[in-house]
Amino acid sequence: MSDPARHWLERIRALALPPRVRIMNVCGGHERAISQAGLRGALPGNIELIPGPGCPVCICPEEDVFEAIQLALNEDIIMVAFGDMLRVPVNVPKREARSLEQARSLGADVRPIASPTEAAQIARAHPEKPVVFFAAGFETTTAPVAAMLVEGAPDNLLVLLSGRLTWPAVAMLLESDEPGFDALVAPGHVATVMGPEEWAFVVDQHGIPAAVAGFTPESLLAALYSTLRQLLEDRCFLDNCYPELVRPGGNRAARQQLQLALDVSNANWRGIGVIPDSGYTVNRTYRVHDARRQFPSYADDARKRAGEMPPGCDCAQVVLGKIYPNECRLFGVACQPRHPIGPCMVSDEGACRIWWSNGLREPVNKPERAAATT
Amino acid sequence: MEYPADAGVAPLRSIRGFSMCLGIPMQIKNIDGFTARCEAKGVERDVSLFMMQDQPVQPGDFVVVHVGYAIQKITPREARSAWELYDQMLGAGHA
Repeated sequence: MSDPARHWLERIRALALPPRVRIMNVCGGHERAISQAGLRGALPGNIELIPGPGCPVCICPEEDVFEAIQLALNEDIIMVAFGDMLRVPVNVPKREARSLEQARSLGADVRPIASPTEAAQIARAHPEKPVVFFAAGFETTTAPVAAMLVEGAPDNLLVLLSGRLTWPAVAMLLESDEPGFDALVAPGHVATVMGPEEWAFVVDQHGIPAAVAGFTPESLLAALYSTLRQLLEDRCFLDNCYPELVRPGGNRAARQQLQLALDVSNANWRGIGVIPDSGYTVNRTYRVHDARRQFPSYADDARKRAGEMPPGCDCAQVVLGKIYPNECRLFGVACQPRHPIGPCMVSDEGACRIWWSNGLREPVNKPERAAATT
Repeated sequence: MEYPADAGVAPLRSIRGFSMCLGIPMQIKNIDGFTARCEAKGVERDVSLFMMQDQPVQPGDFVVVHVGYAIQKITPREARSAWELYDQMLGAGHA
């Protein structure tokens, strides 16, 4: 741990903390940095760091993954998607393709990509075929998709968009009877693109301390210290502990491109339900690039467990920060990175995958949390 | 800028783990329209500058790259400290 990080840790240890403070993060990158730096073990025991809705792959609607699989199998197309999406399972009978990866093994042309620019390159290289870009992600990933459209995508490039906004899920939690956290660490790269102001509602409307953090232990500890001080002094404000990237108004060009190409609408989150104004859709101007308008829907109302998490899987509870990953009955037993059952174990952004990768596999002794969820 | 000798280039070769949230700091070598040739640890990539239109950049500048798009400028010192963290994280991830 760096000297500045140790400095923040010492300042946190010197605070007269209440018996229990729950601080939520909503970014897989934050959760990964917290786990890998071992911050939970280094902090006083009364501070709980709760991974919340920070994994876009995890909450991507099951129906959207099913649609992508069916398009790949039934249409004469090339399907491209960020690598994580290829292994996300849907609820279908055993003989059918459960993931894009399995669709590929059945002969579908499914290719992992790392950037929207790769999707455009593949489309240019195959002008004779539609290329469908299945794009799930939060604002930081959806903004480049919008940029790709605004810059001018090839005619044969269509986007199956499952973009989501981060803050509405936090708003939903704060408006519920039991938000489950006392302070918030806001996501650094979402704020880099969208501006930190998006998170002001946490402080202004709910009186919950909040601080934007980057991805170093130093920045995360500074943000934790800030929220704890706010809590102790009963003086909330939105702090910015990632000023090197997060500037007022965010990245204006990126936000403008999001507005030019996409609309914001109510959207479904897997296992959670519809959250108002939480999803991106391709707007009318770019409708020729909207896969949802250009291809039939393969939605099957009779399909068992459509839209749900897999049977026995507590990913929805994990995503909402209601339980820790190792409180799921499948965690580490039936569900492991090599044979994942739920999306939180598939994605590198998923809390289950992150905890497993960092060896955090022991049950946590949090009787009141466990009791609240049984 | 100097990186630790044992740093490796895994994060650029393998995008896994960096696909969604984490941005990778890279240095701009040259620029052609909205495309910049960027480098980190000896590995070069084409990066889109399309989202950087409000913030002029030039060769030598450092940017944080997310899914192939520069999202923000960053100082050399910040780029270095970010890389040090990622090296630690990758070391832990591969352990």
